[in-house]
Amino acid sequence: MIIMSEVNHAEVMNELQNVFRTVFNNPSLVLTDETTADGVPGWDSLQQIKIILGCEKKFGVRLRARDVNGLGNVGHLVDHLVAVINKSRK
Amino acid sequence: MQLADSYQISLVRAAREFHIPGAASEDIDRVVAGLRQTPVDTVPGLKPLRVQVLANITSDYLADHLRLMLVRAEYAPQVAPGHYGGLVRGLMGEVELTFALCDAAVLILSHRDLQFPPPVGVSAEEARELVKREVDFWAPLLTRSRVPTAILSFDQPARRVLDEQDALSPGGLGWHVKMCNLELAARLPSTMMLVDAEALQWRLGAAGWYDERLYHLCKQPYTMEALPEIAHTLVAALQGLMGRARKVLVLDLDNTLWGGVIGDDGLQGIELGMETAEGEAFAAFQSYLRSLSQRGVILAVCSKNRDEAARSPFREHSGMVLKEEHISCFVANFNDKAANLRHIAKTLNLGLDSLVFVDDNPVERALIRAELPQVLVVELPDEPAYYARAVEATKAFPLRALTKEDLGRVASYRAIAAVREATPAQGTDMEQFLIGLEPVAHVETVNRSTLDRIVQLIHKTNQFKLNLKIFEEAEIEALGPSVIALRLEDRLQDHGIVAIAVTRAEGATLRILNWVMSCRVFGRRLENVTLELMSDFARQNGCRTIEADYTRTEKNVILPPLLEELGFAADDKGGVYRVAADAPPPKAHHMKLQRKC
Repeated sequence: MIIMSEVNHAEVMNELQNVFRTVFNNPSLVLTDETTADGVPGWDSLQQIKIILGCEKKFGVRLRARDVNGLGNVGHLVDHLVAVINKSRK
Repeated sequence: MQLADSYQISLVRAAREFHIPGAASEDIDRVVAGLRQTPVDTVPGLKPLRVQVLANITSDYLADHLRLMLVRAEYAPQVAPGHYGGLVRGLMGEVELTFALCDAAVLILSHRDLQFPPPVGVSAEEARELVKREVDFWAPLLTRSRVPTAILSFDQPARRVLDEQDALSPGGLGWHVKMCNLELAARLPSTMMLVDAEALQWRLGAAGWYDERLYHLCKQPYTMEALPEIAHTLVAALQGLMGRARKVLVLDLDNTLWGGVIGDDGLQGIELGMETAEGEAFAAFQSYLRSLSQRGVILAVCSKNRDEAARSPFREHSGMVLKEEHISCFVANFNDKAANLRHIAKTLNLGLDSLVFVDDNPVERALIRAELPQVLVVELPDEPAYYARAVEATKAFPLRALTKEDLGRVASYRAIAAVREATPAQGTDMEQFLIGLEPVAHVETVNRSTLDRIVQLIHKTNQFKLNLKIFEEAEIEALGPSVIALRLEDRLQDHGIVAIAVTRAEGATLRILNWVMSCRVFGRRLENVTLELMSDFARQNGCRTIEADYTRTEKNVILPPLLEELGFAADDKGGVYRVAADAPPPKAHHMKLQRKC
């Protein structure tokens, strides 16, 4: 049996940044915990869905839009992803 | 003019490199985002095209992929996604689809838009009545657009409430969808093409088509992975309507039409026919190609072989489905294939952008991609059983309606190649040559049997075409006798209707609204016959001058010298060409004129 190890905040943040770079076609985009939709040009409700789908594909999890839409900034999104990913690996 | 920067050029290159069909990958996401953010109209070789989408779904993601597919088709697109409810506004005439607003349109229907879905338990008779009401409700949409328009038909519902009867029996929603689509197809005007959503669903599978979650989240019913295929199919339909369908499949021989190498393995050694699985796959591919040829796709051969060896299977191998008679232009030599493709295009009197290249050798494919980017190169899989699938997936041969000319086209191109090879360059021999063909120009009237072809020829012609004006069937019918349509027949074959002039008498002037002639009959002086008939018609209607409205495009640059040779003179701006209705006739055309009684 393969036991997958838990992920941490920094690892998920790094992968999430790649998802954002693809969705917004911006290879130099840098995310911080404090980043919000206002700080990323083009981050509207349609791109939000692309981010959710991109995360699902990248991390192999299912997200609920309601959970994600309520998050205040990228740091909270990363925390949420860490929790969902680690739960799926238990 | 503003120059394209390297980023725009790299974006266009990335767009071209996707092989269709391909699932939405991360790379596609990056490129569609790039094309959404950055216009590419300064990249050389791309034609600007404004496309309006009308839909009752969120079509932003679809618009992203339409841009991608349009760039692949050599356009610099400006795509306006329709907003939720846009379809109904189009139906009500609140959005006008005219050239002032856009160059082409895409309408997206969905089973959710249906106004008269059958309630469970209706009788067969009531179900039929609901179909009629449904189609009457949507039919006005078919008359709303003045521009080339692709319509995605109603899709089958995600849930089949009546189980297997849902699409098979009157009263099922699936049946309602199916019947409405057939009825809309029957009423379709010639400026529109209906894209079969049910066939798309069939290709992608139910799980590949619907994403219910996405619909509830943002009102897009389709999976993200379905979008490239949907967009590609819609763009192919638009290309068909805009006269950009391709015409010729150029085929390699060894390991493309049969297994093995004829020059090394010999007639007995190649794999073809029912004895082996591979041989059967090659025979099946040939059957598919033969069917395409029957519906008007021209086949040509381009092979690195000695001519005699290359032809031997066609003549002597019992497993060959294709015969030499199916091949309009046969080139087997050891020249490089780029040169040979140029030769084939020239022999058939077509542009390189009419060619599709099929070759199992990746090196040859790469060469053609690099040397002749106008040629569409099929990415063949290793397995011959999947060759036909790969050719079909290119959607290079969109078809709006099968006409008599489509059915006779292959014979016609074979004759062109034969005539080309026998044509003397110029001089007195030319006159003898034309006379020797015993040409007859038949004057055709506008009626049910000719209407489709008249409209189609005006659409599809690129080179001998005065301007971009296209006509709907009703307009042609209304103009009736002032539409001059000619069918050319000679001792080799009947070419069908190949020249049309749409005119209108305006006081003392006979205006040529548009004038087209198929490139298959260039050099036969059919334009002289057309002018003669126009002059007759002008004089009968009291017109003293004939005026032609010329708009220069990338492809119709051959016209000005031809018009001048016919006696026309241009005004200062070069937009209007005039000739007196009683001007002496240009060069003798040697044709017999035949009018229907």
